[in-house]
Amino acid sequence: MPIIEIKDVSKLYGFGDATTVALDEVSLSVEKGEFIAVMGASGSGKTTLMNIIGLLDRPSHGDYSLSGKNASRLHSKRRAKARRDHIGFVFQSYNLLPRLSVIENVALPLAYRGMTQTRRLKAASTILETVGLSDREYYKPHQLSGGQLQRASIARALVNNPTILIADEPTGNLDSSATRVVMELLADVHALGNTVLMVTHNPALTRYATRIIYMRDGAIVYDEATAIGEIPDRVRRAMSQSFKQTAPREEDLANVSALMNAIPSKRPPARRTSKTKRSKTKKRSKRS
Amino acid sequence: MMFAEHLKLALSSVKAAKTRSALTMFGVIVGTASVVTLVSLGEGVKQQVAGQIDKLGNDLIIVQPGAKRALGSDSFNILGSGSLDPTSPLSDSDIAAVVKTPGIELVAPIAVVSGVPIYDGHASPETIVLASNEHLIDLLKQNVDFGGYFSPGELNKSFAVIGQAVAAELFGEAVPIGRTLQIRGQNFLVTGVFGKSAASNLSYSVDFDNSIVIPEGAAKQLGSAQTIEILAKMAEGVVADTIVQDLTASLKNTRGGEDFSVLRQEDTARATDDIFYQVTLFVGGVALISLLVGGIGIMNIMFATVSERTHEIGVRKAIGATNRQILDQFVMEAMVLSIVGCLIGVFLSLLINVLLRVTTGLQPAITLPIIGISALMSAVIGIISGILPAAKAARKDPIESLRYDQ
Repeated sequence: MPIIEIKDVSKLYGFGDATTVALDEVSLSVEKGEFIAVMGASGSGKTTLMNIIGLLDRPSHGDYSLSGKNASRLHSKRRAKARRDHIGFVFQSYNLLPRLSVIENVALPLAYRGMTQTRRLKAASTILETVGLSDREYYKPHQLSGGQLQRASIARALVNNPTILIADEPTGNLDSSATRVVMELLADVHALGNTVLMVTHNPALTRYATRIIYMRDGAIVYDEATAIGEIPDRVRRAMSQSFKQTAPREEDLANVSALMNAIPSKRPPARRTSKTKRSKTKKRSKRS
Repeated sequence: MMFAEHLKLALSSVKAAKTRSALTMFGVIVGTASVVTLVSLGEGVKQQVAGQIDKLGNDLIIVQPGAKRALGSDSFNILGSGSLDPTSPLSDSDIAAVVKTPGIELVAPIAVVSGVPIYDGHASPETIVLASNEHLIDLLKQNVDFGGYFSPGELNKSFAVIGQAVAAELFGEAVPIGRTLQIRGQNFLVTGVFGKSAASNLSYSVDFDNSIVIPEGAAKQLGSAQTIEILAKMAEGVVADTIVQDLTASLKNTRGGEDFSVLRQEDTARATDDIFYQVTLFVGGVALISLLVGGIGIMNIMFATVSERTHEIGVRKAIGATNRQILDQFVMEAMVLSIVGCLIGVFLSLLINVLLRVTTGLQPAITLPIIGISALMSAVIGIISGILPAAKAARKDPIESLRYDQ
């Protein structure tokens, strides 16, 4: 039984003429233990898809089952509890609460479960040890480096033993060595049998994945299984083209654009906007 | 479980913004301090009155000229009402009627003598000159510190027993026994000085400190005494209501109409109590408005906090906080602000209490119920002022909130 079963899911914003299609009848089935890299340009619907899978958002149409249970029409309280018990989020900007110490941040999901403080901190301490942050437990987030912050936030995502781990550009703010450390950690998490969904703009990171999904204009245009440690030819080609690009800040972006060009498209390529814009503006730009 | 967690969080966020929290709490502090202080003033009066009833006993009956008015309207001072009443003063036959009423043990009429006491060319116009018989001090349980009060055989003598304030004012000494003062040109020998009068103006008694009491026989000779009141003490074991009825009936007879009132000490004290209770309620209500304003201050700052912490709310929701848990967190924060403010306010009012007791004659009394009620009130204010901002926080969409820039 697939752990995630999405059937013809659409997400629309706005009404009437101003309707924007963020997801266009997407179907996806994910088995337990997969490591999926989700790629695509800004505004292609990656984040919307992750939000729906992560139960932060509801699909406008279509069905979503999580572990065989229909999750597309859950009440907000049930969704919150399902997030708490089944989903682990890792964000690009870490999103640790600045006023809490690292260990308190990691223990927070357990607090919402009603666990006692001692048990909570114990569990958090164990998980921090596995991510290699035992010596940073009582630091505040601002005292940690980006890589350490991302490891702490992975620890927070894992503390509840989630069914799926959703990482939205987890290395987007990290340098290459921190990226490596974080990806190795995610690979370890995956090796332990966890299901991981990772949005990334960096084609090189697809070598950690067992499956690669490309999205464009709210639809999955390409879905390929791949072996760990391997970068599919298409991605490799796209990467080699991108070496011509020099500006490091633009690197990821260039990779993706090259990648998109390499993929057979069912629609003409969308005009892309800057990657740094947030998804709200993305939608707006699509609308125009 | 979540309660402790929310409390810890709330305390830490209150601490995180010290200046803001202090300013926010200031409203509640002032509100609570004023409510508690004012209510405790009322409570103090109540206790004083109760003490007065205890002291004078329950068996005192007061007859005044003038029809009985609304309870409490004229009962602040024994001298305050009858003397101003346009109806005819009490006569000797009225006194005789009271004396004759069965069940009455002791009777003491009080008459006001219009005249200014003079000693050595120095007048004391504020001093009240009263005339009465030998039972007065027994009825009002007043003691005489120096010298003595007049005996039944001395009712026609020109003696005067004076209050401590009068002694100081007129004679400039504490014990002017043996000196002579003049009232309406007649000499009176000071034979006694009253003890410090326990009576405040709050209940039915005579302010002995500022009075001179002369025997009723002597007052008659002066020819200017008007009886404004008859004090009577009931015998033990009689039914007060029956006596009041009997008294009323016989006085109606002698006076030919019901132009008088028969009051019991208890009635009047309770009435005083009642007035003060109402005054306290009113003033406390006004102070409550300031507490309300404090609550609005909390609400205001909670709204600011909620929109400042939108991102945090998004994160919490993403990791599984339900709307209810977010709501509780922010309500708790508002409650911490109001309860801490209230505690400081109560402490402040304790200080004010001590200051009032030391510097003024007031005797405010802070009781546990007052503190309990104010604590309850501040918790309620915390909940009320926290619930709207917290509901706003709870309703926030997690995706929008996560996108919100920190």
